[in-house]
Amino acid sequence: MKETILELRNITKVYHNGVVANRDISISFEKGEIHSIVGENGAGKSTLMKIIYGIESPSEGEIIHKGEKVKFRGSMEAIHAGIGMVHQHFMLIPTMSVVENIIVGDEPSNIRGIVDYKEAVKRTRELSEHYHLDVDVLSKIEDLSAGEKQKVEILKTLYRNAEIIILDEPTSVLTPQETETLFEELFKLKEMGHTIIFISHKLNEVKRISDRITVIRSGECKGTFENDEVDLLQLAELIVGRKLLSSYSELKKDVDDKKEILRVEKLYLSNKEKNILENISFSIRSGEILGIAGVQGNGQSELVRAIAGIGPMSSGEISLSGQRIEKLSVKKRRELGLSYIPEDRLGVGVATTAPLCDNIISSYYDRADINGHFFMDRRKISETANNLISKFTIRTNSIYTAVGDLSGGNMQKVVVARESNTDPICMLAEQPTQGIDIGSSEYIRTQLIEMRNRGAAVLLISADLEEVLSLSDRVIVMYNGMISAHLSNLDKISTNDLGLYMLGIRKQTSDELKEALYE
Amino acid sequence: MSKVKINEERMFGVIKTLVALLIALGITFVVLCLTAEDPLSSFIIMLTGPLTKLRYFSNVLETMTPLVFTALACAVLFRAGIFNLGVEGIFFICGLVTTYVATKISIDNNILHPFVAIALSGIMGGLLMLIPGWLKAKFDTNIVVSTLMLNSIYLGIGLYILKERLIASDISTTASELFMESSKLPYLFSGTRLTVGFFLALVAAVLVYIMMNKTRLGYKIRISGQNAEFAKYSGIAAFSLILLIHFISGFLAGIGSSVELLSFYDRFTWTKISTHGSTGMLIAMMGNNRVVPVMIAAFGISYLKIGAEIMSRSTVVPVEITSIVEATLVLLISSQYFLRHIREKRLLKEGIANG
Repeated sequence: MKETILELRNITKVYHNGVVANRDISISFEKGEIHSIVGENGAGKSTLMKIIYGIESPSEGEIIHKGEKVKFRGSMEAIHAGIGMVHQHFMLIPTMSVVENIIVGDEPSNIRGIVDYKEAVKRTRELSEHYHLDVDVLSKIEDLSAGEKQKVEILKTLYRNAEIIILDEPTSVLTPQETETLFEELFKLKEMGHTIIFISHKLNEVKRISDRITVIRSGECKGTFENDEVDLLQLAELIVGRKLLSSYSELKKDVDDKKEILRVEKLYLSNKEKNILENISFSIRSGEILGIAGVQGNGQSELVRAIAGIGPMSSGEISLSGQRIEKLSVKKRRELGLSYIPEDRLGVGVATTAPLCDNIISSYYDRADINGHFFMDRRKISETANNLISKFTIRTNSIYTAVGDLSGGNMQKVVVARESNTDPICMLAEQPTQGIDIGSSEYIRTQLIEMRNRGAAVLLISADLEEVLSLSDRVIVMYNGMISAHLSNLDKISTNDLGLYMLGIRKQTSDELKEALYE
Repeated sequence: MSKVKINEERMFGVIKTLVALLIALGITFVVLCLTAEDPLSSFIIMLTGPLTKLRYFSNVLETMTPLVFTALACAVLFRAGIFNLGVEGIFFICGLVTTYVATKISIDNNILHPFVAIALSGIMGGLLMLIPGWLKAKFDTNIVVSTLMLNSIYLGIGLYILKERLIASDISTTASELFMESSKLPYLFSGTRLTVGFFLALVAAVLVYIMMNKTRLGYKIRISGQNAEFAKYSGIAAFSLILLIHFISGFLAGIGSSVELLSFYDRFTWTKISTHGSTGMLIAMMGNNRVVPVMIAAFGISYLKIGAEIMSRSTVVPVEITSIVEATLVLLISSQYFLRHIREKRLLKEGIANG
């Protein structure tokens, strides 16, 4: 039996606005284990960590640290008790050196009260060597890579003698290689007897490094498991709280009477130096999802923006249901049945400071059903907003909540709700599930398929290859502003082949590419 | 955020304003202590003066009248995220339109005459404001620069017109001929100089309120002001919207100018840009570009101006002392951080209490 270092007993946290962030959560952390906390965005992981770290105080329940009941009134007390936290966003001063960042707030000083810089450098170096966290302690933070900054953050907690280190979504800013290095470091820390609390929603990472895993769903603890007790799918289902779809293809229904909806022909966009988009031609029929695969930055964004009418194009034709639209205004295109879920949610997709009810009608604010003769009909607008909130299960306190206060997933649901509330015949979905939780992602994907089943044409642009392959009926690959492949038989395509097209190593002939236009 | 929460936010806005006011008055008092002979009584005169006589209180509403127009003119544009400084230039040059109608065109009807003057002035204001609006919509010029330049241009052109076409032959100073009696706005009540102009200001405020909060145009203005990219993406055409709100703004400024002249002047005497435009801008900012707070701010600033004027008559303190209050208020109210920690603490306390 291992020694318990920290124990949470029946922790409940209610916020001022009545939101119950944590409800009766009990977890024990053992010395020398990597213990992951998983859950969707807004499930209450962060609140729980803030409670452990003394930033928030629990409304009910107690914290037992090394057998004693404690109550931290601020992070300083938690730090003194040997608890350290590495935040998701680095808390470092970019213009200062590693040493200065590590010692700040707890500087070694000589008799006259002046910072003993030599001693600081010495101690920091020792620390770095002892824990095998290699980093040049004299370099400035701004010159470091994300992985190195993370090391500095961990060193910062170790400098303060942390025995328990909380890592909040530590891999979100790291490359795969840096992530692997981080894991090695964490294993070493664990061997040295430190307890690591690892917060993440990337389940394969969690499976890779954890000894034990605790699942939190809507503020409640859904159990703590030994790593080998659960597999990935079980874990995902525990997090979401229901069965997940193993495949989207079974949701698809055949649509009769397929007509061509969106047709793009010989579309070019060029600046002085080069073509950003070159000879883009494809067509989408009703009841069809066309996926665009490709490494981000190969012209996908520019293409969608040109189709939606908010970005430029140099030449070419775009038709919607047979009508040329490339010269029409955004409004006209929308009236003809075009909808658009933009990639840049905060910058383009919503007005964060405006209330939800204003955001959810923006693309059809002048439609007759929410307007009177002279004035907008507030009652109808509330009705529309409330209907969409319940239909799309948007979690919000009211329709007057500023959209910026919602979680990423809920914000995206606002966008999707608005864009589907016009009964579009063509939906441009650009990175529709980027950066949002599992549950919302699944919901949004299902919505796209439903739109397809209703006979809409969907253009899906995604950096997530699995998403593209599982949702699309056909796929085109973009490389360097051109279409490098058109693939209609998706069962026979391996991700490896797709990779070759995406990296521009292979390219189909122009005859093969004509198929994208159904010619 | 529930409705209760919205009211709380509003409450916080009110508290913030009141605290800002107290600080501003405190600073004023300190300055009075340093300069005036009897600071306390001067201070009391300034604060209570306008309430001592009906005429003084009427003076407050008279001062407020043009400021309501200029503040609304600014608020409409600011709400759309367009920081246009051109209201004061429009206010000046539209005064000359009014002067032309009031001195050169004789209409023998004391309702029709001011109506024509005000209407022409408003339309002229709207059209002139279209110039920076069009430059903004078409070429995305920096509206701050273009409107500042235009203010100088309007002043120059205006003075030229005044001196060449409208100047009075009977007096030696630079001023226009006397306004015809038929052009002047009638008084609202006997015993005060308050005219129908004040009533027009209230009507304008109600109309702007309805426009901003009930109509599709207001919705478009609000959305564009909060995220222009989002508005474009949603299919709200920026071009026509920018032109329209510039016209409305200029229209309001033009009417304001006309109302001011036909209420309180016998001839056009401005030889430089008046402060109505810049004060209107301050008021719009204080009121966060919302009609109701803007009206309150317009009243408050006018009250202080009259208070200071009354004080200056009995003491050596100049009227300009109100600038201290105005400047401090704008600085504090427009600051996002001022008093923020108090609000956060309160929210935290509530959180613990409810838990």
